[in-house]
Amino acid sequence: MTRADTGTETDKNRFVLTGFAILALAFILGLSFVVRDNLRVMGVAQGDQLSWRASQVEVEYLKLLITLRDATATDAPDLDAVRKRFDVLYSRLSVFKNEALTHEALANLRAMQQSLDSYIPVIDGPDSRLVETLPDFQKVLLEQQESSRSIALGAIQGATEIQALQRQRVVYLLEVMMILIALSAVVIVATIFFLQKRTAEQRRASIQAEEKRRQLQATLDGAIGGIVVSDKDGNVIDFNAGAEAIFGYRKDEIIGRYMPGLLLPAEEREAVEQSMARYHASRETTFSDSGTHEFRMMRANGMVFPAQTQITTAQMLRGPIFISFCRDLTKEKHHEAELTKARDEAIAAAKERSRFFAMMSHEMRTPLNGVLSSLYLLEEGSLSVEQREHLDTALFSGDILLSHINDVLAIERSEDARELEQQVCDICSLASNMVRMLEPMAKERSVTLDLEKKGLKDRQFLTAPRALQQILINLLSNAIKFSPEGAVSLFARYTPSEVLPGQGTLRLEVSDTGIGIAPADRDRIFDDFVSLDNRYERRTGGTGLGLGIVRRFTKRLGGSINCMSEIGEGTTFTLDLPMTEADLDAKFAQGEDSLKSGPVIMTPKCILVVDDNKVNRSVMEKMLTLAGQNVILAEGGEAAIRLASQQAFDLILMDISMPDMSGTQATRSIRAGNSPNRDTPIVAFTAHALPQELERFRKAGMSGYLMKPVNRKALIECIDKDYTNAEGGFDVAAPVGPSGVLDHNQVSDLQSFLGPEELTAYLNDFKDNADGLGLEMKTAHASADLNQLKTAAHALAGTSGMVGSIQLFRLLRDLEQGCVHKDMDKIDLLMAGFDDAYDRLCNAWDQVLANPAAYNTAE
Amino acid sequence: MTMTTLAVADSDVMLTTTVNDVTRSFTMTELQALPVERFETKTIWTEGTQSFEGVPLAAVLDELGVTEGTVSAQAINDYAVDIPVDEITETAPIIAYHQNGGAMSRRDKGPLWLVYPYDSHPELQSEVIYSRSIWQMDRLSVK
Repeated sequence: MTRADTGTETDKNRFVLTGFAILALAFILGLSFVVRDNLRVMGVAQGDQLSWRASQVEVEYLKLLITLRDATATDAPDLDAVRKRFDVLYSRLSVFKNEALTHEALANLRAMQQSLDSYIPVIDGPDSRLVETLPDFQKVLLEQQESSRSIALGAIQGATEIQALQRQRVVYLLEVMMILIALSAVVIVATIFFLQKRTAEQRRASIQAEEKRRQLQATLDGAIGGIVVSDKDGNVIDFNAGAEAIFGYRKDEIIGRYMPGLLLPAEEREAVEQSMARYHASRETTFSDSGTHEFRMMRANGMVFPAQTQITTAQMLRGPIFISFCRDLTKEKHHEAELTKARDEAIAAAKERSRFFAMMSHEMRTPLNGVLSSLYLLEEGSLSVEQREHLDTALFSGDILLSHINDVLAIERSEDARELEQQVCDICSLASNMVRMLEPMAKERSVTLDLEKKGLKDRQFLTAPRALQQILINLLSNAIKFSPEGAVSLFARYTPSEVLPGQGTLRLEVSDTGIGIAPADRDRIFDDFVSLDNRYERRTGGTGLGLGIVRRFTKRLGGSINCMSEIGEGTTFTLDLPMTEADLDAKFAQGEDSLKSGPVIMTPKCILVVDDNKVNRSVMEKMLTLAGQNVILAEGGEAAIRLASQQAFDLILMDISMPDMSGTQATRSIRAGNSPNRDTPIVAFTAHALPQELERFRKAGMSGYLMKPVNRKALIECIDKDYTNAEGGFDVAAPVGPSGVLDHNQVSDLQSFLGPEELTAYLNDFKDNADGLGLEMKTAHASADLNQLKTAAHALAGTSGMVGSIQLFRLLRDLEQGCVHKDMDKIDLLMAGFDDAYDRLCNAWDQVLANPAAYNTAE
Repeated sequence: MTMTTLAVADSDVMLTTTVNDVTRSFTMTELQALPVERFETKTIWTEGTQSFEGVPLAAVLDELGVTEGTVSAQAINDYAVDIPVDEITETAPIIAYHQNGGAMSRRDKGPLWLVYPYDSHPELQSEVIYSRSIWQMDRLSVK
């Protein structure tokens, strides 16, 4: 339940409790009145001494009887006394209320009253008549002796009953009131408990809010930029140190003052004020919460300066506040202007230079052609020996001049769209034609020229043939020029894309056995007008534009070029060009046969596995142990050297990139020392696949190469291979692995090696490792640290290969290569796809783990 | 209940008082010559609101020169009750001689009835006050 829900819930509870308490109290109050009234009724005497009055009826009755008896017994009866007693009894009877009597008593009362009434005329009549009637009256009264007693008793009983009923009623009301009081007490206690809880919660919330506020204040104070917080009317309510530095106001002097008036020049103020008015009217902002804006702002000294501002609004209890982040752009604007100016000047100068060269070249070529034609005509005439020598010199120099001019024009053409016109092109014959065209030049310099093609037969491409021609001409003629009496080869290979049908990569490798290029020069050879050896240049003739032309066209075709060279050994230029096939019906490579599983019986060997990655080590150990091999593990180059000095191994599998010491270094050390493993085959175990790297491994004394990711088949082949043949170990076909996210063979291998629990642990290790490396790559990419990026990509390629990744593995390998070639575009593209590829791998594995059986049988 | 009111002669003694062994009697005329007090109230012995007219007991005591002690009132039926003087106010109780505008007969709590204005003062609705409301009063002494 969220906090807001709790709030509503408790509010509801509170209303219910409060309502109930009020209701209960109202009932109690009402009841109190009723009870009070009842008590008052009891407290107020409803009658006088009832029992006395009741018994008095009998007394008065008897007194009347006695008076009557006395009167009848004498000759001079006291009639006044008779009358008085009559009246007294009469008066007494009239006092009783009907409801206070029992039925019997009431009947008796009525009877007695009737008999008294019947004697009133006599009582009120003349004395003589009264005297006559006295005995009769006495007799009548005597008959009612029992009645008088029953009236008295009935009255007492009736009153008692009424009082009992009244008491019962009061007791009942008191009981109801007690229950209600008890209930109210419960409700009140519950309410108090509830309120206390609420209070505690509110106290906690306010402590938290205070902490948050302090934290925010610290953040605000510590921020580098200027932060100005203003209320809805534009008055400053906070002003951090950064803002003090920018605007020149102190916080205490600006707080409470009108921000637009102080910090904005008049021309900006109006717009901001309008904007604020609009915000108040419609709650729509034109300036806040909408990214950064550039404003002109004003310092305390009145100086107006450019500033970058980002404004956000926050809703407070007392209305919105505006938080403005300000940055002084004065310096940046200045720098920007300078840079723009410098760039514009540089572009203009370069354009001017290029235009000048093009124009001059063009203008020169026409007369030069005239000069050369005339010179060739002269050659046909009869000349003296001396004249012929002069003519040869003139022709030689003229040819060189013409080729220079052609180079310059080629540069100009590389910017020309016509040169890049897409045509259907048979690269196979284009390459053959280029080689044939250059054969005379090669022959002239006693250079052997070879051509090797792969994947080009029966394929048509949609590309720019003139650009390709320019590239090949320049590379081949350069190679021939620099390899007198040597060998030049062109290796053209097309590899179709595994993902996109009809797409692929054309690789062109031009190798020579020439003088080579020093490492320091390798980066600048692609610049224009670079000739490495002036003396040599003079001999060979060249503008230094050739590789510049190659670079331009390669770039225009979307490819990359790389140069490898060893001084005195030769040079290889490698180009990778993206290609689109014109014939979309071409068949694509079929997936390789899946590996047969099952135990393989082999002669047990003792194998040292060197790898800095724990995950890789443990998988290798499993795989080798399952193949019946004895395995020793080393977690780095130094450990490998130490172990190799103590014990003889049959085979060493050596990772290349390791933090403490590289695999090649360790190999050199083992080979150079006096260890029992001096001649043990050492196999490079890496994700590197570049030919130049293989060469490096070989030179370090390694005997072969095992490519990561390692599958069982490749591993068994590697163990069984005969390393006595120096080249055999490196005879590894470029792996044409299956496509997709996960290598199913690798997955089922891992499943059978590790079992479900270990596999999960293994993958978790991998993810931890990969998360770290991924972060490292992103950091390196952000800071353009290509070495770091390459190292991290290489390490991740290794581990991801081990968990059967295909897509991510290739991406990382390409990335590594991109780092080698410093191809930022490619790196950016690959890095953009990195997260996706990694997520796909993780998802694919999650599916495998969720349903391992399905995966096994699918294969 | 039918009732005939007995005629009361002006010379008939209505009230006999005894103060310090000095006996004095009042006829209806003499009583009616003393200050008059009237009020309306319900009583527990009657039905509906009654109007009473009579002389305040205080005025009679004044007439007798009584300022302290206890008044002992007695009725024709020999009922007797004591009322401390300092619980007698200027206006209550009164010795009523008229009920609802007419004289009260002996046959109906008359001719003199010591009544209090029960309705105007709830504290007058008590057993003590009811016991002091003596009807058919004919004697009064001060101790």
